[in-house]
Amino acid sequence: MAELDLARIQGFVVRGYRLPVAGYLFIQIIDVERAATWIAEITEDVLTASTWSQKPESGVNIAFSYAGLRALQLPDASLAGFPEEFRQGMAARAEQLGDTGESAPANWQGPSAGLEVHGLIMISAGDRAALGAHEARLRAAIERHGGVGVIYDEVGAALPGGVEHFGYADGFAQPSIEGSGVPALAGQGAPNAGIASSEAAGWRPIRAGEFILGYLDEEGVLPATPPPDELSRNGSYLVYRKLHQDVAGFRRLLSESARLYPGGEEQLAAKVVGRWRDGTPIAASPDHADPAVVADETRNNAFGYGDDPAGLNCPVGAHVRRANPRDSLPFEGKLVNRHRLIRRGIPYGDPLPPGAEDDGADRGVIFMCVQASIARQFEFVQSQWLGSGNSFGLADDQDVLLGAQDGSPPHKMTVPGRPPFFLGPLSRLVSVKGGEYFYLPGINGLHFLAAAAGGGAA
Amino acid sequence: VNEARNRSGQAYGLTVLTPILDGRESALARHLDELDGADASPLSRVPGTHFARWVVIGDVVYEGPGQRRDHLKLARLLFTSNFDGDVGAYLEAVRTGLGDVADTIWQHCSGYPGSADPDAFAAYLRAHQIVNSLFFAAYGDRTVDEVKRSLALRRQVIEFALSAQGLGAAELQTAFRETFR
Repeated sequence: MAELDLARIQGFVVRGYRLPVAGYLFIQIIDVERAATWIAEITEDVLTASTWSQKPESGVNIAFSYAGLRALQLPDASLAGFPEEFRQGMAARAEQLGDTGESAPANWQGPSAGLEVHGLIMISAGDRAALGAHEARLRAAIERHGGVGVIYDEVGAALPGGVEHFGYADGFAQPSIEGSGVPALAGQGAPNAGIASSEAAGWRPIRAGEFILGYLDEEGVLPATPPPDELSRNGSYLVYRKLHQDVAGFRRLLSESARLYPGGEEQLAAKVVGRWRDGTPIAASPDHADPAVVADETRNNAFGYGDDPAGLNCPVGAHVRRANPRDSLPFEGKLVNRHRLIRRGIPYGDPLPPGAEDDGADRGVIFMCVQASIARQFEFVQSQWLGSGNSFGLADDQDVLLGAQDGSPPHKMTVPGRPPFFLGPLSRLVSVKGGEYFYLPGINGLHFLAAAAGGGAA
Repeated sequence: VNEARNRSGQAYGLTVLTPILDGRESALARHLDELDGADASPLSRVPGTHFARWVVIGDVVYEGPGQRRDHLKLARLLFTSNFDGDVGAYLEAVRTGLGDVADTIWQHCSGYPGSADPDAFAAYLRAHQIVNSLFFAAYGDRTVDEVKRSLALRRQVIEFALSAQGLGAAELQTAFRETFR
C-alpha cells in the first residue's frame, strides 16, 4: 500500500477542513509570464494535506479549468492528455447532467459574458474576519503581479446548527482514502463482503487512485494521466457547482404530502433523504432519530442496504442510497467503489425562517467534489444514479432533491411499504446556477505550471 | 437464410451489408449525418422498429495485438434493425415508411434498384442480408406497440396513484373506474 505524499497533495482533497466560511475567487489569466510568477508565489500559501499540529485560521487551495491551462500555454502533449469531459467543461455537458430548463447554462450566473473562468481560488476560514484578511492578502498579491484578474466571486458560510438549507445535517459519508493515515471508520470506505456493515471490519479504505492521480485505483491500475508525471502526480479533478435550493418548495412538498403519509412529516423527510434531519441513518434507525447514533462516528455511518433490498427501511430511491448505494448493487460493491466522490461543500445565502413564504432570495449550496475521473465519478453519479432510475429498477424516477424534474410529468418517488406511498408530483427543487470542471494540481503540479507556463522549461 | 438465427421470440434481427459505390462514402456519411434523429428520425415512420441504425464502414481495423488497418476495396453500408414479426412485411414497411429517404440512402450503394418496385427493393436487401451469429432480444415477446402501451399505462397508473392517495374505499373505486374504464 502506497503512502500518500501528503505534503504535495492539496489539503482540500484529503480532509474536510470543517471551517465555517469560504470564499471563492474566479480568475482569468491576463499575462502568462506574470501569472507564472504569481502561481509560484501562491503555491507557497497553499494548504497541503500534511497533518496539522494546530488547525489553521484560514487556508487556500487553487485549481485551474482547461481554458486556464490552455491560457497558460502548457505543452500540447499535456493539454491533449486531459480527459474529454474536462476539456469540454461543465456547460458543454449540460444535456447529460440534466442541466436543462431552469438549470440550463443560458440561465447561469457568473462572470459577464465573454469572460472565461481560468482558475478558482478557494479560501476556507474560521470566521469572516479571517476570511476577509486572507482574501485581502490574496487580492493584493494579484494586483501586485498583474498576471491574473479576479472576474467573479462567491461566498459560502455554514448555517446555524450545521445543517444545509433543507434542514438536514450533512457531510457524514465520505470515502476514507487508503494511505491517508486516517483510520477507516465503519461506512466510510468500501464494504468488505461477508462482514456486517455495522462493524468497522466490514469496511476498508478506497484506493487512493480513485481520487488522486499517480496512485493505484480500485481496478488495481494507475489511471492514464496528462504528461508529464510532474504535472499529474498528486493532482485531482474538482467539480464546482452552485446549486440553488427551493426551500419553500421543499417544505411545501413535505407538509402537503405528509397529510396523507401515515408516518408523519419528519419520517417522510427521513425517507426522502435516507437520514433523519439530524443525520441518523434511517437504515440503522428506521423509526426515529437517535442523537446517540449521530454523535458516535463509529455508528453514524455504519450501515448498508444489503439486508433491505426492497427499501422498506431506507427507500431504494432515497437521496443518500442513490448517491452511494453501498452494498446494494451486484458484485459486492465493486461497481460502487468506482463511482465514489469526496464531497466538499458549504451552504450559501441566508436561511429561510421556519414557516416563511418564498422570499425569492438566492440560497443553496456550493457543491464541490473531488475525484480522479469526472466522467466516471461525478457525471456518472449525477446522470445515472440521481438523474435516472435504471440502475435501481426505478424506471423514470429521479432523485427528489437533485433530479431534473422539469421534463414530461409525472415525477414521483416511491416510499416502499405496505401500502407504498407515492411522493409527488415532483418539480425541480434544486437548480444549477453555474459551475465548472477544474484540475486541482498537487504541489509538484503547481511548480510545473509555474515553470512550464508560456512554453517555459517543459 | 437461416431464419432461426435471426429470431429471438417474435423479434427479428435484420443485418444488411451493402457495398457503397466508389467515391460516394463521404457523401453518404454526410447525408446520414443530416437526417433527423430521435422522434423525428425517418425510422420512426417504420412501424414495428425497436432499434435500427445505418453505419458507414470505411476501413476495417484488426484490434488484436499488432493492430492492423485493412482498406476495403469498397466501403460498406451496414443497416441493422430489430423489429416485430415477419421480415417480408417489414421490408415493405421500410420501403413505404421511408419513402424517398430509402432512395437517398441506398442510391449510393452498388446495384440498388430503387424503391419503386417492392419486389426488387426487398430482393436487393435480402440478397445482401447476413445471417446473425447471435441475436438477443431482452423482451423478444413484446412488440413495440405493447411496450409503448405498457409505458403509457404505467404513466397513467402513477398519475392515478398520486391523485388517488388518501381516498376512501368508495371514492377510490369510483376514481379507478373512471380512470381505467
